[in-house]
Amino acid sequence: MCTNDKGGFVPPDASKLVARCPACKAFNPAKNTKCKKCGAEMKQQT
Amino acid sequence: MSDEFNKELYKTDARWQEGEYTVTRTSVWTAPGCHNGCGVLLYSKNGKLEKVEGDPNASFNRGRLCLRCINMIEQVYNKDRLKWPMKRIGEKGENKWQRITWDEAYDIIENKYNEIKDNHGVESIATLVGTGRNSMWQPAVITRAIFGSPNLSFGFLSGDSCYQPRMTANLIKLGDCVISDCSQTHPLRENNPEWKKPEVIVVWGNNPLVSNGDGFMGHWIVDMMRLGTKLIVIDPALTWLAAKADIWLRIRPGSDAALAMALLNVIINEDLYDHDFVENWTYGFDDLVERVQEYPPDKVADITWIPKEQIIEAARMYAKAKPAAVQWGLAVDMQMAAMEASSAITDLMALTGNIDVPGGNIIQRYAYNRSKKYGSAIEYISEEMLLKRIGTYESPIHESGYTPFIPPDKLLECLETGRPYPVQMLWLQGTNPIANMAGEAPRVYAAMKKVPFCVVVDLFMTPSAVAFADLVLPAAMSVERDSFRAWWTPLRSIAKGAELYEQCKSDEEIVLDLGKRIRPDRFDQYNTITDYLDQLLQEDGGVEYDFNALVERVNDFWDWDYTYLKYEKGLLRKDGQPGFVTPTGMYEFTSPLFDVWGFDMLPHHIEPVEGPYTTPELMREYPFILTTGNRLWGCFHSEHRQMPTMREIHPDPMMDINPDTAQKLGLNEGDWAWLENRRGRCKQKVRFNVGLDAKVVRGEHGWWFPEKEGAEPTLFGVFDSNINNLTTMGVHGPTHYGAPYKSTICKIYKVTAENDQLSPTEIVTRKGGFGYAKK
Amino acid sequence: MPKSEEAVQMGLLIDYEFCTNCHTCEVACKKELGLKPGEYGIKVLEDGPRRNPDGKWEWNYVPVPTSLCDLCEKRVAEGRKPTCVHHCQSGIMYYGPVEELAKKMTGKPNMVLYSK
Repeated sequence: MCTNDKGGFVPPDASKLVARCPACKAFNPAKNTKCKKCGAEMKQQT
Repeated sequence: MSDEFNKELYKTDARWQEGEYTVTRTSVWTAPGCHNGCGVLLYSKNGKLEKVEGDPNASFNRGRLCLRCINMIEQVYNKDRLKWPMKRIGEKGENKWQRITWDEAYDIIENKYNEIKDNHGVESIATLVGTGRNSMWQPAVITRAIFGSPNLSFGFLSGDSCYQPRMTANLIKLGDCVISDCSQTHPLRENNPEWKKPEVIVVWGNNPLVSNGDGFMGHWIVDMMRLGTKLIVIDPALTWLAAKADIWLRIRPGSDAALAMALLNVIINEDLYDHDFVENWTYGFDDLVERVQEYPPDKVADITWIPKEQIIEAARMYAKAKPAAVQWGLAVDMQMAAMEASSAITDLMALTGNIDVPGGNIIQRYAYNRSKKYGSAIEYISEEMLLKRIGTYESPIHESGYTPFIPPDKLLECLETGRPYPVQMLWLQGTNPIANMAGEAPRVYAAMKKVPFCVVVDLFMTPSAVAFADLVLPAAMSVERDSFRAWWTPLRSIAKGAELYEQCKSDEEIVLDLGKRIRPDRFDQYNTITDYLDQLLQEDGGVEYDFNALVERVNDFWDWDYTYLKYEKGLLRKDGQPGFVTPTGMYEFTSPLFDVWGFDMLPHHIEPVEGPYTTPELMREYPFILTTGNRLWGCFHSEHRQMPTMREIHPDPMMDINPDTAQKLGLNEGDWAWLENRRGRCKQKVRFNVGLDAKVVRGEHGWWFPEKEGAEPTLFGVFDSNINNLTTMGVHGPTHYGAPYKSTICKIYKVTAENDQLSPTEIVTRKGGFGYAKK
Repeated sequence: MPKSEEAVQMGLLIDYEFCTNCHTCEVACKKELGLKPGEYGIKVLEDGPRRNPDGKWEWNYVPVPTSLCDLCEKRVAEGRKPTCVHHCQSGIMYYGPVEELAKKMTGKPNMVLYSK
């Protein structure tokens, strides 16, 4: 499987940048604790 | 190009003896500068290179070569080539040097490094690199793994506007980069049974025959034309390809995003799009449908200066062709709306179902994932140190790690203001910023002068070396190096075919020498360059063989690269599922990432910051749109000006102008003319271009004059014809990507004895610059 | 009776429809013959660009072998192609007996044949 974490032209891991609200499915910055759209609790990435 | 050739003479071995010649079969990738890595046969005698031929067995170029490699002897054994390390003995700019040994040079560097580490912190070392050469990962390793600084940057390339906007837009929208498929990914080329010829190629914002940008050999376009491919060419100037195209869209510089939106508009509204791809593999199509309604062809005709009928015709031609490819280039990057144009053009590829299909725009990664490129050694930088990166946290896309470089515009601000901290040392490897890449070059000159210590690794004594360097280190040419190339495909050996010239060293040797001195904990594990290259080839599941085995193979194709429809086959995602490497797993017409960063989720047009619709007042004084950076046969950016053969073809810097406009200004072909705006002026020779719009002029870049005095105030005449006296720094698109190198404004007038008293270089080096109002 | 090797007139066939003015032939030739600046064994000449009555652009480049061209005698004797033919980036130059090259022209517009 292709990985290219140390360079080359493959994007950073999107799960570290963006997360989906479990309630309304809106996209949020991964660091958000509450959904910017519906206010629901966001599960933090580990 | 050799369709049939003598197999006795042109062997598939890696090395053989032919009479008195040792023949090395390998590839060439810098120096001299080039984005490609053509297969060559190096004929040498007693360690000295005698001639170079194109390798007919290399499927990349199939025997063909351009004049850079054909003229290799003149380059390698040029009398002006740097021969040994040198230390500055006069003032900066006096061009007075003393020959020293490598050990002495390394002592100076090590002492300076220790002094900076103890007194200022290693983050105050910043490194600048050039474009597309095999000297990008090496300075990245020196900076990050050896010095420990996180600050690596393009040599003042405003808005990172060289391939970064296009690649980043690709990565955001589909998670990978795409290139136009001219069969180059398969060893059998056109005979690969799965490959199809592109019925149409859209040549967008480049003249690939001359520029050979981004690893794409321009004459593959001619190969396709000979097979019957039709062209749509988008270029403000008439190029040979534009003249041969079915449709030439003469675009107003800097309005590419608007054009792309209008093409999307026609394809959507006339229902010419690929329903299967859109329904099954994309996200956010409805939003795009809504957005493109803001860009009807008649409105966009006014923005782009392209007749409405031509926009509609081009949209239909591209959408109906199955398959069709877009061969895009630097002009897309060099505008305010670089990210937006790149996104919209990528949407065109997706909307028409041309992503990763034979003859379309195919997904590529580095061959076998080799070559760490810009990101090299970033794993050595701690989180704490990453936070010290200059300017990075003002640009969310840089911060997220799409471009592991610090934004060049922010580095310039840092040099000027000393904030967040003063830069103590600049390391320049394979870049000559004031001659070429830096926008607003006189401003960059003044800022770079403030840095206390500077090392330049290069081939020749350049204007940047004379102006700034304390230490100059001579680099090896490609034919003298052991290295490899993995951008894009195949994986290619770069094997030594000649002994090193004088005391030159390869970029890899410099890495290893410095590494062993300063970070033996990281570099003592490698006894030789070969050890080091073995590790680079093999780590993280790369190839199973070592460097010497690659040299024997010469090149190696990776089946991943020539597998089509990888998104259907689960070949893109780490989880092995079908789809793309994006947050939604789909191709994203609307981008959740853009939204999270606070940018518009959809592509849109942004007007050039100076121009008829943004600064109509200013246009009264500077009535022409100035576009820059058209390529010269055989000259790579600021390189090659020392070569008599290249200078026979290009004796002088040339500016292009419509003959009617020239006549009105009293200019004849061959006259010297001033190009001038608020930031400065430069002089170039007038050349008529019948295809140019009467209100658009074009100036060449990269000009300096190695035949002139090196010491200031002459400084090889680096500012005399420097088109970057007129361009900008710190002016870029909202995403921090893209700068208007190709869409600024100017006035034009004849050079006379009266108005040419003081040369521009003297004005910059002695008078503190042009003194025009800085906005 | 077959002609002897010496009696066959050799030449270059150039499909100038696709000549891009890349200068490869000029420089390859200079290097092969050791020519100085200003000297050419082959020189690319330009016609155009101008608009035809139908609105299409006309822009041609035609490489012209000069009197210094020896059809790469030395290379050919070694079993190689003339260097311009070998390196031409568009792959539009062919070397061979003029009679055969003339046949190759049949049905293909915009070709020129050079005889030595």
